[in-house]
Amino acid sequence: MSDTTPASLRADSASKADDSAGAKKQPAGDGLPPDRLLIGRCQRGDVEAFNLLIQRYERVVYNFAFRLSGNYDDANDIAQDAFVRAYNAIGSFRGDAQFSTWIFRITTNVYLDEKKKRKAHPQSSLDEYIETEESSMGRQVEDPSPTPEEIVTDNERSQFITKAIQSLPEFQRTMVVLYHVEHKSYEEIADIMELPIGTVKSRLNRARLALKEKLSALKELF
Amino acid sequence: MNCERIQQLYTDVYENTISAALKHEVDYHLSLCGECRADYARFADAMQLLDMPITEVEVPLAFRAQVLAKIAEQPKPSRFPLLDALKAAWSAPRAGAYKLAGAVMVAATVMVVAVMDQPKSGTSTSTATNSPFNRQSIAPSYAGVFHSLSAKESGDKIFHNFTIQLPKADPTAFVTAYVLQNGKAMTDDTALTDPASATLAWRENDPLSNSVQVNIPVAVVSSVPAGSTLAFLVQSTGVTAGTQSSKEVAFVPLDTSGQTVSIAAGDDIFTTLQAVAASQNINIIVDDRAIKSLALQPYSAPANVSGATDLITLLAAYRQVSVVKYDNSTYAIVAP
Repeated sequence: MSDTTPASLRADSASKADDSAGAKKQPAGDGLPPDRLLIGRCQRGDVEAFNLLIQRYERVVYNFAFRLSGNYDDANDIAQDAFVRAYNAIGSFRGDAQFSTWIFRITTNVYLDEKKKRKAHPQSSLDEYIETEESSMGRQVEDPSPTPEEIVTDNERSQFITKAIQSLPEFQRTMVVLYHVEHKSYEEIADIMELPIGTVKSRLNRARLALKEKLSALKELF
Repeated sequence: MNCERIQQLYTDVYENTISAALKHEVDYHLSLCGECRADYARFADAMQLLDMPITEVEVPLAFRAQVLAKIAEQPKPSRFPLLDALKAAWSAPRAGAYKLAGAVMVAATVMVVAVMDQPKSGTSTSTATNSPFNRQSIAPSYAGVFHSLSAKESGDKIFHNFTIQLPKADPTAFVTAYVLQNGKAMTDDTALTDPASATLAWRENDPLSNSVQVNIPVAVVSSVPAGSTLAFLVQSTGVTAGTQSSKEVAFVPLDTSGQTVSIAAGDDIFTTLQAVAASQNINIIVDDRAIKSLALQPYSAPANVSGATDLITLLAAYRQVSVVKYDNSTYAIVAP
């Protein structure tokens, strides 16, 4: 197969009404066998079963990766690598957690690993943040967010919120996306990020404080 | 309670997850501190915005195929790591002795590639003839995967027929296919929105061959634009599991609805092919080895060329031969 670039295969992000806002993102009623059966088949080397697992979770994983990375190319790489890692590790999946939690954890790790790599080779570190225990400080860069005057549609509102989230350090960003975009509970986020719930809550509070100035300006427009 | 402490409690206040006593303290502070009151109001606004639904983005059409290709491309872990380590240790001081064996293996590989490349030379010879229809011995376009003409079903669905030869060691394969137009996936609502896929299984007791034939719905449009291609990925499982072959093939279905061709009831397959070749101004080459399989199969005359090509496709599938498209004007009917 030709190595088609992800961009060339991308559908219009706002093309379908049922893809838009409010759709429940947890896969359900897709007519595919339950995760438990598919995972068992994967563990016996059935690639087709893994293909079905991808089919079930590609939408949420890809969107999660997109909200984390902020661009399609990185989202594609992160989501693909997450599924490859999941495939390689499926033998060790024991069903203690939901597959969805597991795949979100893997995707988070792929994203954080990628950020680490980029920090080690900082050719694209405009959004780099130095996160300390108690505070975080962003570099002084030009704010990439659109001005309020530029915002007219829901889609642009989504873009604005996404960019505001992008301004956060990666750990906070991951938590905000998991909670507010993927609608995970504090407990699920604690499982995914392997952190105590208290840490999740306090970091999320910090992230929300950081977002409030940007987003309160937007509030006037909606 | 100071302002900093109040900020730490914003989320708990917003979600109402603090004790009544603490809530009372916070409310008391907010009633006295205008700055905190305004700050908390901005926080609450931000929370409302964050909880508004965000437009989803579409997953690229080829996403799954690309993941599967990445998985297939991974080096497989050895099933006998200790043995491999011993072999490596043993062979290290004798590396020279293995050069000859290595050279033999390279030579063997070149020979295999040469055999696989045969069809191209066959094609160039065949297309040099003036007749639009001729018979000669040719090999498949590439080993393992054959494809035939795309055919329209009743309605608007177009199917593409594959015949895939699986290694006997790999009894099953999974095929994913998607349509590309000028290098881009067709994302129009009228096109297929998900990659088509099918599972193949080698029929152990089939005396004919280890090939299996599958129809894959590749599009739901009545006519696929010229220049479209069909990309597909075949992933076999079994002893050599993880190996995969992926190809991009020409995808120009012969959608010739409405054109008539002179085919008489009872005409055999060759007469029909000649008529199709003449009416479409294409070359059709028939592999000598396919003749026995096709035999002289009389059938009722279809009403038009489209019907004739559909019938050929079905017949080819039934008789275990394939119609291979070499270029925009040359098709070949080959034995597996």
